[in-house]
Amino acid sequence: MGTGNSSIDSFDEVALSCLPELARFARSLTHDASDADDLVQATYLRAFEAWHTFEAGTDCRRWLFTICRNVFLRTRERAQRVVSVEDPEAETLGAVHGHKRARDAGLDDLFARIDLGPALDRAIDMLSPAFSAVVRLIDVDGRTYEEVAAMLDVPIGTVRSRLFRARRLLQDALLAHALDAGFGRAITASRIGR
Amino acid sequence: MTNPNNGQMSDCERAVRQLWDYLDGRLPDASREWVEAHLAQCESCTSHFNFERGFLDALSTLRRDDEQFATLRERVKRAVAARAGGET
Repeated sequence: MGTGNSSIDSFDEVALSCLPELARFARSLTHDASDADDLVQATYLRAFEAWHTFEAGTDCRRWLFTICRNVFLRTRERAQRVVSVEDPEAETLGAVHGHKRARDAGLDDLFARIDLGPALDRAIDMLSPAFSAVVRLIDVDGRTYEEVAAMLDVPIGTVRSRLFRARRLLQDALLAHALDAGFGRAITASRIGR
Repeated sequence: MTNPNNGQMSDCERAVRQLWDYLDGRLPDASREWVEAHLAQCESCTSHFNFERGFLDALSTLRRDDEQFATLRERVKRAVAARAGGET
């Protein structure tokens, strides 16, 4: 195991430079900031132990993501749950109904009018891991479908369908939050799909 | 959204089916141009697309700056150094 000073230096320079991206990825998996930090540390310790196997010049970020995902799967034993792949187009059409409900409630300008940051963060954490991961990686962190497919080791079509579903679920949650907080016109619970 | 007369997909439905791909910049040029032409003459779809764009903008504001990970970086460095020290 390469643990001399030169090894530590190269590890610091190459591997630690990926920390922000790894931390965002960890958060997408754990749903919890503290758990994400623990996962990042565990990932780096595992990576350091295996640093002698890393080939210089190859994609360190991807190598770290793989380790991170494996550490997470081993420690949680929950991310193996199967998420059915929905029809992306059906999910897109679902957005029509979300917009209509918002409009009916007088919340057509919901996102411009209300600071939904904290509520949005909580709503993402309430999603199942498969959905929260794609929405955090793509919509929050700005990654491409292709990058996320590689990071999560799933087909691009799966990323797309999970993303569209996640967006619909988030909009439902945000609309309910806005109405509960007293924004918009009163509409019945059945009309907002709760 | 569907045309009750002949079961064909209406222009609005066709546009909405491409909504996320359009906002994510994933449509081929011809499809993107078709959506934009439709939006130029459809107030309802424009309102809907703007609503969804606002939603995506709200999501993007949750992104943490790299500097916000400085504390975590120091924590990891200490842990790695301790691991290296314990093994030498």
